[in-house]
This record gives sequence, structure tokens and C-alpha cells, in this order.
Amino acid sequence: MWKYIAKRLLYMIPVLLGVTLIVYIIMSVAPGDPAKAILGDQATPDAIEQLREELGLDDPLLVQYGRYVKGLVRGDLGISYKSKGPVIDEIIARVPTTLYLSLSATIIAVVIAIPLGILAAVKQNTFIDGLSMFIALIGISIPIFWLGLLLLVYFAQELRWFPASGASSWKHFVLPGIALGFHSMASIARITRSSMLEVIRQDYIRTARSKGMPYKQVITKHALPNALIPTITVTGLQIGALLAGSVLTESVFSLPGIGRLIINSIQGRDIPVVLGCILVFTLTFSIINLLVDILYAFVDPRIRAQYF
Amino acid sequence: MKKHVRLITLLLVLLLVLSALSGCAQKPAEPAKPADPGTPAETGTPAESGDTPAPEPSDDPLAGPAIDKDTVVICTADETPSLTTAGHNAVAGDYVNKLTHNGLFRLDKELNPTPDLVAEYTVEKDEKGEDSIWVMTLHEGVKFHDGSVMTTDDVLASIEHAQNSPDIRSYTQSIVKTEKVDDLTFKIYTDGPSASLLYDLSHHGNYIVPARQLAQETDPAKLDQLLNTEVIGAGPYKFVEWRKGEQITFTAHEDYFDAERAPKIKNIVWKIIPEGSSRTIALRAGDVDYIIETDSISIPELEADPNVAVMKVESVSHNWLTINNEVPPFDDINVRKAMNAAINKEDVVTVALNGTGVVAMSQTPTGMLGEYTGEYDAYDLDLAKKYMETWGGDPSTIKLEMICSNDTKARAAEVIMANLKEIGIESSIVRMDLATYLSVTAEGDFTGFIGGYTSNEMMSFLKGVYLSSNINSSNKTRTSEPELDELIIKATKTVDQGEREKVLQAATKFLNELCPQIPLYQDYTLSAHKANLKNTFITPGGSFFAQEWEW
Repeated sequence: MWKYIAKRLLYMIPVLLGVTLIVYIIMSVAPGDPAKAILGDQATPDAIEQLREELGLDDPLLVQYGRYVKGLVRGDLGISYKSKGPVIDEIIARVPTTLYLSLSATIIAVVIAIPLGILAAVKQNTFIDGLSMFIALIGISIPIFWLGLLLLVYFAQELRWFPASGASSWKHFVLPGIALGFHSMASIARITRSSMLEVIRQDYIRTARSKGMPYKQVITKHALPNALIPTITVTGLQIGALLAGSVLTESVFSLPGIGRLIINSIQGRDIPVVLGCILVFTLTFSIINLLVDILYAFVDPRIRAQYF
Repeated sequence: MKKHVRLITLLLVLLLVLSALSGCAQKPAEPAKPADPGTPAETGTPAESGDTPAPEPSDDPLAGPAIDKDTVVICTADETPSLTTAGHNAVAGDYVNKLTHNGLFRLDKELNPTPDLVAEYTVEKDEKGEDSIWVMTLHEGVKFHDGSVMTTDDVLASIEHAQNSPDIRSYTQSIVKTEKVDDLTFKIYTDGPSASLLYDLSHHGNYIVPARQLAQETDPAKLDQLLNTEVIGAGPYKFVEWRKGEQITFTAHEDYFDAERAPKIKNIVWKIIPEGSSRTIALRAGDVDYIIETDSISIPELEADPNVAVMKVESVSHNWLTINNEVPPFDDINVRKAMNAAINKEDVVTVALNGTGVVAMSQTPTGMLGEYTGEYDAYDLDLAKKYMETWGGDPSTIKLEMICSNDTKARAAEVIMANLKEIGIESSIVRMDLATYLSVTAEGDFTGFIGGYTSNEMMSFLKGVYLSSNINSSNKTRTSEPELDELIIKATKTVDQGEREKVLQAATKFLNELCPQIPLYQDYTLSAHKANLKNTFITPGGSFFAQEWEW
């Protein structure tokens, strides 16, 4: 198992380098000069030239990328064009917020979605099934931005149960977690329902029931573990989607996370910060994929026997 | 199944009704509060900046303060890129610099330079007999936040530092050299008489930092990092903590040199809330006390809230439809004048700004020394058609692409599109992000765009927007008129205010006749705060004076 994990971790290195190369090229060839973006409308040509020289933007693209990779190997993500501080400091200051947000959204999504999906499957074609899937439909359709504002108006402005902005306590993550998790909840609930429906029609379920096993036990002990594999896959993918969704959620709830940082940096053509954020996203997504694969083995003994 | 469909339909209808109700939900409007001097009586009326009359104190906790009477929570849309004075040229950074640092001069409420750290100054003549030697003396005993006393050495080192910084060195252009006289007195030599020096010295790039700090690092990048982490100025507030992306905190500088302008509220929490609607919600929910940039769409809601005071001031930000004067047929004055007369600017203000601005008719902004509002054409479709006839070309051959970098500009462009169609000109809208827009427009690779320029004084505005040497940077109409250049340079060399005003007016008159671009509007600076916060004020430049506020 450890060999498998080590191998997967090594595979991440070319992935990370490939991603940085692609993003570097895209950012460099995209229209918009970082020096002009920093100095703004009122900059003189002399000042723009001086800043380009200071930032090393006059060097050939390969030289610039080579310099970046050389720093990366030493653990140096470079200096932000805009703040002129180390990129690593900018990212470290913001990673916890995005992690808390993604974690709270995932917890909210999973805790609601799995029971909802199971309930909809075991009560197929009833009012409960209709209601569950109606909630899921709303979750998929509702824009995160709009839901976020609605939650803010009711629960922060009118009821004053939660703060409207900031990130200094668990209370600050409840509303953003709901806004962000609601969309994922819908996808997870739908996949849980369909995979449960498939499993409960299997012969071994019928056998268990015919042997007189209580229905609840049949569902929790026999059906659920087998139905969970697709749910885990979708949950893993959803965590990736949560990272993307965090951009909007962080803006609405004024959370100082990576999502807001990357958007501001793209707009300001702050290439080192964009690359640093992309590295964090790529690394997170790769690690989540690895964890999902490991989790399969815990849920399904056949996979455990085959790969570990 | 039919039953379920009916149930789901019912639920959907219920949800829609709830959404509609939430959208319409608004507390009944309170009886009108006494209007701020900074609040226009009606949309489109130019507003004056001024002190907010003290509102009736309210016991409602939502009328403030958000934390306690020793603290004010300010929220703003953009985070400063840096806490240094010379390492950025961002408005968001300027606000923060004004808390932590001082300049030799500052702009007063009418945007005139007035001595700040300087106690007195005189202008001496050089060997050519020109007023170019500025002898200035600092206030005695000005203390930095670290307790050290400010001297001439700090001033000279700060100016030299600014001259080497690409971000703000344009604000040191008139300075030729500096010279120490004694610990409190120094001389600044300018390139001939300079009307812009005192304005430049009021800019945050020239704020004073300790010479000791500037000598600590020779590498500019490392020096920037040092100044960004060890923030030492002599300003009314001391830097305490920066939680990146979230908030910055400040506490009062107890040894502030100017007793009359010493801070009345001890602590400032400076929150970053990028979304306009979220800022409004945070103010109404009681999380923050002051919003620097208020969304125009939130104004009716905030004005109806008895716990909130709204301030509107006509800003000095001048916005226009820029047309590339080098590209035919826009190089023809008749085409430009036809477009100018064909655009209904009242409609632009209504649609783009929700009415929170005033129509701009002149090629330069109003509200500053040298303003001039003659020799322009108002909205007149018949006149526009006459100009097109004088041009003599086929209007259907004109293709105007209007680059827009945000929603406000795009809404303005939609009105313009409809107006220009009336005189047969087809136009289209091209959306670009800000960085691309800045590059494309500076390089002259466009036919038109919706843009603007903000300056606290007319000389900088004219230099930036119309001086021919600024083609390929801020002169985006690519205007190149030797007579105009001469007037602009003359204004910067005219120290006498009355004389300078005449030269500046002559420059605007020349421009209004030339019509290099289509002025659209000057928007309002919109700020809102808790009703219990007193002595608030915003200048047409958008500045405010937090040290004067009190609960």
C-alpha cells in the first residue's frame, strides 16, 4: 500500500510541472501587460519600462519560466508583482480559509445528501422521493452567488444569527458552507439515490430480505457499502468543484481565501501569484484523488485485494 | 405520479412567490432626514461636499457603533496592495497611507494643498530670477510611531526614495534636487517655477518615512518588504495587524503632532468586502460602521434606513467615450462633434449610474481650479445631423467598437449605441478585463472605449489626458496639438493661482472646440455610515478624514 501511495505521489511531480508550464504560457501570451496593470492608466512609458525591467518581464519567456522553476525547486514561489511580497506568504495567509470553507461545505453536503439519497431510493415514487429530488433539483439549479446573498439578507441582516463578513470564528463559515455545499449536496444525493436503487434490486439483497433480515439492517449493512463507491467518486470530484465554487462564495461572504486571491491576481496579471494558487489547487485535487482511491479499498474488499 | 407533479408545481410556485416577496421586502421609508450638504436634492443636481450635519443620536444598536465607542469599522471594496507609501499607486493604498503617514503638504477639503508637516515655507528666486527654490521648515518635535523625531534627513531620504520608485515617481518630476539647511529646514529646487510641486508633495508617494528604515536595505524589493511589514510613519494612526484579504487594524498615535487633528476614535478596523451588496448588508446588519464605496443600486435602500446616513458628492472623476483621433473618420472634427451632439448624456447617467452622477459637457472636469464650461454642444440630434452633412461621408461606413471593462461602462455603451444609430453610425460593444483594456487602449489599438481619468487638480488632468508626450500611455485620444501642449506647460509653470486659472480655462476652451472625445458624466462619490457616527466628510476626490470622526 505504501509503495502504491509513494508511486502516486511521484506521479504528481510531472503533473505539477506540466500545469505550471501551461499556465505560465497562457498568462504570458494573454493580452495585458502586468506592468501596465500595476501602474494603471496614469503611468508614463518610462515608469512602465522601469517596472518591466525590475520584474524581469523583458527576458525571453523560457528564461522567465526557467527562473521560476529554479525557484520552485528550492521551495521559492517567487515575489508577487503587485504586493512585492513573497507569494508563499500570500498563499499561506489564505489557505486555511479556503480549507475551512471547503471542509464545511463538504460536511454539510455529505451529511444532508447521503441520507436524502438513501431515503429517496428506499421510498421510491412516494412523496418523500419527490420532495428529496425536488430539493436536489433546487440545489443544482440555484446560483451560488444568489443563494449566498439570500442567506446573508435573512440570516445576517434580518435575523442577525450569523455575521455578514469575516473569517475569525466557526460562525463565519456556516452560511458560506451552506451556500457552497448546497450545490454539491444535490449532485451527491442524486447519485446516492440512483446507485442505491441499482443495489437494492440485486439478488443478494432479495436473499437477505427473504432470510428475514430486518429491512433497516439490509439497507445499512448490505446495500449502502456497495452503493457508496460511486458516491465517493462524485464526492471527490465535488471537492474539486468546491474549490472552483469557493471563488464566488469567498467574494459574497468576504472570506479571505485562495479563490479571491487568484481572481484578483488574474485580473492584475500577477503571474507568480496565479501560478502559486494553481499549484495549490492542483496539489489539493491530486491528493483528493489519491485519497478517494485509497477510500475505495476500505469500502470494497475486492479492490483492496487487487491493488493493495 | 400526477399527484407528485401537482405537489412539485405547488412547491415551485411557493418558492417563486417567496423569492419575489424577499426581493420586494423593504422597510417602509422613514420620514426624510435632514439632507446632508453633500447630498443632492435630486438626481442630476451637482452636489457640494461638506460636513454631515450631526444626526439625532439613536439608541438602536444598528445605528452604531458596531463594536464599541473606541472603535470604528470601515469597509472597502479593494485591499491595498501594499502598506508602503511609494510602492504602489492604488486608491485603496492611498486611504491607508493617509492613516499611517503624513506628507509635507496635504489637500484640504476643497482640494487645495495646505501645509501639513511643514510649518512654514517661502519661495526664493534662482540665478535666472525664477521662483524655483522652495525653502521649507518642518514642525518641531514631530514624532514617528517608533518614537523617533522627524528631521530634514527623513524628508530628503523619502523624496529620493520616491524618485526611484516606478509606481509614483511621476509625482517627483518637477524636483531637480534637494538640500539640507539644518535639522528642520531644507530646500527643494524645481525645474523653473512649479505650480504642481505642492500637489505632488501632497501625494502619498511623497509621504515621509524614517531615513533609518530607508538605509536598512539597498535592494528595492527587500526594502519594499521591510516597509510593508514595519509600517512607521508619523500619521494619526499606527499600524497594528494585517490579516491578508480580511482586515487591517490601526490604533491611535498618541504623540500625533497636530493636536487639532488628533484622532478622536482610538481604534480602526479596516475590513475588505469586495461585493457591493455584501457591503450594504454588512452595514445594515451592524457589522461595519462606514462603507467607503457604496453601490449606486443600494442607495434607495440605505436612504430609507433610519440607522444609516448616506453621503453623495460629485466626484472629480471625468468619464467619456474616447475615440481614436488618429483613425479615420474620427480624425474629422465634424464626425466627433456629430457623435457628441447625438448622445443623450442624461440617459447615460440614468442607465449607467442609476442617476448617481451629473452630465459632463466639457472636455475637462468641473469642481476644480480652472474649470470651464463654454463652447460645447448639448444633446441636439438636428445639430448632429448637420455635422454629419458637413463631413459629407457615408455614416454607414463608420464602424465604432466600444471597449468596456466593467458593467457600468457597458450600460453607458448600450445607450450610446442606440443614440449613434439615430445618425446612421453602427457601433458595437467589446468586453475586456481591466489589464487587457489598459494595454490595448494605451497602445492605440482601438476605435473607441468608455474610459475616465481621476485627478485632484486640473494640471495633472490636462497633462495626463491631452499632453502629446503622453501618447502611448495616458493620452488615449492621441491628441497632438502644439498650441494645447504650450498652454498645459504654461499652466504648470504659473505659480500665481489667478493667472494659472486663466491658462487652464484657455486650455479647456481650446479642447471644447476641438472635441477630441465625448464627455459623458462625472459620477458621485457615494459613502454610507452609521447614523451615530459624527463629523464625517468626503472630498470630491473621495478622501475622508477618519481622525475627525467621533461617536
